[in-house]
Amino acid sequence: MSWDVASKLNPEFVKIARMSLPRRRAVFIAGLVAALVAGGGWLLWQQSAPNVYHNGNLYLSDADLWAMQTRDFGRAAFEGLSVLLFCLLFIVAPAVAGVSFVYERLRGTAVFQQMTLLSPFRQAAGKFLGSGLFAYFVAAMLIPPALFAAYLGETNPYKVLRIYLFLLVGGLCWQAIGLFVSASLAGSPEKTLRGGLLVGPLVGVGGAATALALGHYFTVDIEALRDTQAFSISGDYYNQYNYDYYLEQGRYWWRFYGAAVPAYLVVLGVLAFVGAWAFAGAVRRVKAWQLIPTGPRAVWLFFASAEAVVVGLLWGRHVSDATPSERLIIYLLLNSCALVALAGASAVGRGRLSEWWSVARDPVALFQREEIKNAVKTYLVVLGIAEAGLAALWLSYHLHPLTGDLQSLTFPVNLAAAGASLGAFALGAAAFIQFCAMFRFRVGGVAGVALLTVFYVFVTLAGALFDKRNNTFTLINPLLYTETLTRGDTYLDSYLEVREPRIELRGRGCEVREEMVFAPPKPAMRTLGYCNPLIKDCVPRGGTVVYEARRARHRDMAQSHARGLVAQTLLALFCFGLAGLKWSRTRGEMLGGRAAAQVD
Amino acid sequence: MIGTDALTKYYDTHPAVREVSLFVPEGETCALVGPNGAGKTTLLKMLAGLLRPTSGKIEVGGVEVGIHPKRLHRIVGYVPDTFGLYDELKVWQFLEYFARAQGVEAERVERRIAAVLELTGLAEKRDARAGALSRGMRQRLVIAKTLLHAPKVLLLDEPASGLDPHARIELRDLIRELGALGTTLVVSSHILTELADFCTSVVIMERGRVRSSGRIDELVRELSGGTPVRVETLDAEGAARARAYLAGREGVSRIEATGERVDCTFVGDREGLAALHRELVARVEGVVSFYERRLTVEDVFLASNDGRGRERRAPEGAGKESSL
Repeated sequence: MSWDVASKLNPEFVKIARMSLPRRRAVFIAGLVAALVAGGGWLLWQQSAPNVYHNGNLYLSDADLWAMQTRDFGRAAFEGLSVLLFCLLFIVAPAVAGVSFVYERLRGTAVFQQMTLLSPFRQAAGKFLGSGLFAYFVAAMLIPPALFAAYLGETNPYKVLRIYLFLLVGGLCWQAIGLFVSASLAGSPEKTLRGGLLVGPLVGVGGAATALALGHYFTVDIEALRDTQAFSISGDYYNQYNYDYYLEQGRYWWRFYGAAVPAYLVVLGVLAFVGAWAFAGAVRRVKAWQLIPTGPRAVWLFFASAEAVVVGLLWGRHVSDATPSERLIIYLLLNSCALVALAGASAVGRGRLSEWWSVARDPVALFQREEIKNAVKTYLVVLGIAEAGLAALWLSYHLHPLTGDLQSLTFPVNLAAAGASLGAFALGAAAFIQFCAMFRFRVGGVAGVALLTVFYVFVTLAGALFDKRNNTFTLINPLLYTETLTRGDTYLDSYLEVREPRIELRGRGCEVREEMVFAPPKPAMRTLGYCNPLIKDCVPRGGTVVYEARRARHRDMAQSHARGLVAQTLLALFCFGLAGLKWSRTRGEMLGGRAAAQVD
Repeated sequence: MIGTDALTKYYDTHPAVREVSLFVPEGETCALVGPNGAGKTTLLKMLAGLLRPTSGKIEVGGVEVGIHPKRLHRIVGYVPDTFGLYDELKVWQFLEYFARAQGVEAERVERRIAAVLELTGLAEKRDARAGALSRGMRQRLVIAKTLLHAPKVLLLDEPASGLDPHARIELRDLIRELGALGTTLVVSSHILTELADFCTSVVIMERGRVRSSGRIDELVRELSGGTPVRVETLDAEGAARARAYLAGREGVSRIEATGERVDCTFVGDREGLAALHRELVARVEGVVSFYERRLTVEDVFLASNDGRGRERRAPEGAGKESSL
């Protein structure tokens, strides 16, 4: 018995390794993979043979033809192996992680997992590593030939590094998401668990979609693109940096709290963030499953950090950016979805209420329960975080894009209206979802979320039927309300022009001409002075900023704002009224029903 | 060792366990008896910290359940009524996983596995795959894995369910052995005869409530009002004569004749019982034996039913399983 190695590793991992990859199976898989790689390589080599009758190849020597075939083979093999690695790490490993806890339930071993003395962290870590074991094993066999193929194909090493970072971080992220979903289902009732094994493929599909959507940020050869472009312009040093700036403004450079960051780094950061929180969420779900008391602080921390990331990505005005109002709406949409999801997850269903009321006859005793207190506290804290993020974003759009100075002191008026709108929506939505959860819907709070979505789609469509865009139906929707609020705003819905000095190289020195106007989407030269070491001293910092409203403001703007806010507040109060009535009626029904049963 | 106070669990509006307050002392082997749906499994799950009660308190070995689940699981072992195994693992791998997961020190793992394999009679199956074991052996393997961390309290939910008679006898011996080792055991079943041989106390549940609980002998005395006695005769006529004599005898009550047997309850001390024995042998012809009947869980159940249960001889659902 091999006690030594196993005794040093995570027992959960060792168990999964012994079950999924015993020695004989590992040897078989290794042989199979080696044979497939060798066979595929041979086929690719044959396909990569250059056509010697091709005009361009007629006069090439055998050595050149050999080099050409080797390079083509290397490129094709690297691409093929990379696709295989993506499939393994983005689809297979997450899919297996997605069924890890579900499978324990279906197999009947979940009760042992619930009573284990392994800490939830070690348990989740063991499942996390174990679920990826097969994929890691095969990937470990494929990576060396893939790297060799990249070398043969003369692939840019930075591109290879980017791809492998994406593979690693993205794969682990989706694996963590799979684990979280699986851990969330571990404690669910049998009915919910039906079809639980479908979760794995669904998570795999999510991983594949992510790889397809974001892969180009990593597979594009930015260095080659830049070099080619720079030389095609003129080949001189100045244009090299000019093109750098162009890239900075383009799709491969994003901004985080105003700083230009390569898009792939932002994507990697976001994936790592999501993965880390998904893993933390999985650990928390395991804790809840094992009935270990959990406090609400981790949830607050998650929302605070997620908000910080979202605000960072949407932060500030930039030269090429015309529509901060749209970014505000994206922010509000994300927060509305998060709040509604949180309300749906925290809603107390009829079954739970019935259970609690069965032992607590005092109408207010229920509010003393930790579950309810924590849910209410968490919802209010998350709403507060969302409001703080909204204020920070709103403020950032009023800062001078070059100097960072605050340019308006009147912005809190509209900000307060948008904040109140978000607050009214969040509270009303929570009340409505709780109202729906007290009906006999099996899905509880989820039904409320669905109905709420239908309601807002309906009022939006109804609002679109009116000629006037600022009608009450439209203004009930907090996103459209904010859109109306910011329409034609100097800072939030305007084109931005930056008047800056223009630099022209003259021999070894440079000449600065003032009052050259740059308007989006033309590439502005603002950062030119900072990144070109040759001319940085010639360029004065800052410049003149001119805002030009993009659209006209509505005529009765003040009245619209007030009307929208009143409508949203009334709607929220109506939802609270409904929830309160349903609450007391449900309580009456349950207590009455039980009294009758006891008499029987 | 195990104490509950007004323990209640509702599933929606359905009360599974209602205001159960009981105490099981250390070293006791307690039978949890009741028909299907009485709330036995729910109660055991709450004792094991697997189910959150709607209200009430549970304390096991000084640990309040619901506050420190890990501390609870350190002293409690639970064998569920239905379970699965990691069929791909060998028996020793299965046990090694649980030993390490349950925090058995690395240097003690091998010894501990050998000990529980020995105790459960699975030593020969050490290298067999868990999936290849019979139902009885699987049951013993789960008990073995539960014993790895030497729990002070062992909760067994319908342990003999689905076992053949031979496996049941082996299981009974194993439970008796565990009881002798000082482990506090709570064994649930709806088949009384399964538990009759080795339980020292009983909790009888019906519709989520505890109907009666305590040590079996005390309960029987309390409920039957004396010492149960059995007289066996050569034939039915002898039994009828004995019945007639006992009916007129002071201190004897609840007389029932069945074939060549007469069961009755004697109220009095041991000397009085000896006197009754002498008189019966002297005055009734054909008496073969006279003895103090061994008290079983079934007796308690029947006694607590106050005769109602005698008509069916076993609680509801007992017909589903054959007795030992």
